[in-house]
Amino acid sequence: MRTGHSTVERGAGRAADLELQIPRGEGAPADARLAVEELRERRHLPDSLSPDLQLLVSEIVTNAVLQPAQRAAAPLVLTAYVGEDRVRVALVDSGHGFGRGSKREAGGYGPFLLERLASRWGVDQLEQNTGTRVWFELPLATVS
Amino acid sequence: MDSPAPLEIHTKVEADKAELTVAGELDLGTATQLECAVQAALSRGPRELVIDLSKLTFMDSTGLRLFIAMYDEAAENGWTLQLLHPRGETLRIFEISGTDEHLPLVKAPG
Repeated sequence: MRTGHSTVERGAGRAADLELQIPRGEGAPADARLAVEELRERRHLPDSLSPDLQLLVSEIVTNAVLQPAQRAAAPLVLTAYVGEDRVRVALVDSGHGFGRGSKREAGGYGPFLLERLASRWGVDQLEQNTGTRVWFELPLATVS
Repeated sequence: MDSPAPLEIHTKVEADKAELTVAGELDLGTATQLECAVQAALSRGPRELVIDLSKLTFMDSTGLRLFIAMYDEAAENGWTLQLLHPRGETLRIFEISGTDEHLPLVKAPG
């Protein structure tokens, strides 16, 4: 798995194209899908991006919601950056880490699908154990 | 934010067979709804449970886990499960995950 730190920009010095606090709950995956779909339309990104974008954002948010929260009230923060050739989506969870169970456990398919569909993805531990950032990138050009 | 689009579920039980048609998005927000509908249908004792997936517009791994658990339950309790006509992205996630090789999918003709 490609994990660890990313070398691409994390948006330092530039505002995110999407930044949204999502309440931790069963409706969070649908909220996140709606937000990235609105971003895709607003930025005129290709329709062909939609299936993978919808699925992977749903997976990372579902995974976060299903983890036993150390701080249940800690919000999830979804950000997205649209680059020239790719879109990068990240979810910061100040409640806990990213689960990597087997495929059949809750959340276990998330990492599996990220590995299959994302061009890059990873999990960053935030400083001083303040949470986790799960991110993935998808290319804007259609690859088939 | 809007609340998640509900999953629309229609159930038809006749003789030994229960058929559920699901339309909309199957995810963490709607999985319980489908689980409840399935349990309600099973309480009428069918030998066969068919779930028509052709009108599902979105499904993620929450759906995969649900169907895998349902298939295990069917094997344990002696009824059969069929997952009818997943299309488009729904079919793709069964295929990408490799679960299409284990789950009782009936693919749409064509």
